[in-house]
Amino acid sequence: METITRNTIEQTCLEAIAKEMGLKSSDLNAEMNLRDDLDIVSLDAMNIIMALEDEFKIEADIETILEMQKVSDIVDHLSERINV
Amino acid sequence: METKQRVVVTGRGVISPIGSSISDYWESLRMGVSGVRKIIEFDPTGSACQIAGIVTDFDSDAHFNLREKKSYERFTQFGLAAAFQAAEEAELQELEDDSGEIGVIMGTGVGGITSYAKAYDALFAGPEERPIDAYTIPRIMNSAVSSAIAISLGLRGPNFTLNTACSSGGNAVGQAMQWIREGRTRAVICGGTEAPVTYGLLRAWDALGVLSRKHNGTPETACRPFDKNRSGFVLAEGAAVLVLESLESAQKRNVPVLGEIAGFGSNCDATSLTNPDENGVADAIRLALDDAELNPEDIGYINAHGTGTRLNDPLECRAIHQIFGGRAATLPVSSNKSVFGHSMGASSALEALATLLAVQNDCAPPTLNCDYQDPECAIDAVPNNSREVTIDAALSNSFAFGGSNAVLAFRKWKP
Repeated sequence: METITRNTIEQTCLEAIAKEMGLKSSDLNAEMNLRDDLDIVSLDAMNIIMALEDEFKIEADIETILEMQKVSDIVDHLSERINV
Repeated sequence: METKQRVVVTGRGVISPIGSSISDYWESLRMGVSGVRKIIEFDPTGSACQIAGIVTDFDSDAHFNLREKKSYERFTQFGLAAAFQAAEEAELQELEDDSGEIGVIMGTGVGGITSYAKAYDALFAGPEERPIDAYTIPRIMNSAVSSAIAISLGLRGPNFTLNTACSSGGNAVGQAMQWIREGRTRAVICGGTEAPVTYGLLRAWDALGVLSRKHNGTPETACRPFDKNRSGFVLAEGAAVLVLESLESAQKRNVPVLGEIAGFGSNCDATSLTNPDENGVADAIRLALDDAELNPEDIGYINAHGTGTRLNDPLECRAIHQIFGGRAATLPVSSNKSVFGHSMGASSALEALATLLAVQNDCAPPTLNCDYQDPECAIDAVPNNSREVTIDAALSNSFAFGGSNAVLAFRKWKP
């Protein structure tokens, strides 16, 4: 089984965000602000969270994620959940 | 007797199977260019009727960004796009609406059914683990259309989406007129929108036996109102929107007045969910005439409900005879459904717009495919070719399952 690293999680997050928001993942980075830079609103965030839950077979804490500011905050949260 | 506030039309918008601008729509109606074609958006196998009136010139990307496209179902997009046209023509952008003086009321029959269908298909049959996304609820909300119009145009007045099945758009326009008369609003964006052409709904209407089944190879000949060989209607999609405004407001703003909406007859047969009632229909026509303070002899054209079903057409003609007596046989009465199909809750708004255009242009658009008129439909159906005729006032008839009738009276604008 492929080892899940923080880099894997970050890349998967960026790809999920890119897919939901109609962007290129190569144009995104973990320091971007979810609202100001990426224009993500709660419904987009829910779709992104669902995609990540499916990808990593975990249950995310939705309320915590909805309060996050940057992509890296989501990566941190998921890394903790997955015990990376 | 108290004088009624006069209500006029200052804006028009349309998205339809026969054109998505006022000029294209009217030209296709006038020339009888059909918008009915074979369904290619999904496999209609299993339905005896495999044709519909489909909007083919609508570019969602031209109107909406990604978030709007995720949020707005096809019926909402149609309604919004038509509202943008109408608001632009009415120069509504000049108005600040912090006071809530501009309302929105739209009609739809089945609203976000495309998203329901997509979600349930994926949920029960699809391979996806997460078939339903977070935008499903805003997409399926019927009221999304009136809200989206208000959000996009900043209109803080009363905001409703109503459903009276196939008379939804007509009731929305009539109710808008009432709001203005009552002084509740100075202007209202109103109309109807629908995008009902899904496999499930096609099968459901087909099961009722009211869709045309004999013309899949020649779709443009399928809907034949008042014709001896009529066999039903075809589903369709589209939207039409009007800006109604108090005459005082329009004159104050010095915007062109396109016509006057003079009367509204709204009632219920109270007899059956599916069978229309001649007396209920006749009463609705009478109510509209009375409300408009018009006599039957003032009417120069009737835009019929005219579904092309065995049951509707002779009943509607008998109701017209009840009201118009001997004149009914020579009064031009035509059905737009012969041209673009039956778009459920939007049809009455599309036909109200057609009625206004008929009055504006002194031209009765034709009933297509009325080749051998049924003697039980003893009206002048304006068969197959439009007719130049003076129309100072006209009626738009709309009836619906549930017995909810809406008849609108338009009058040529005379200051």
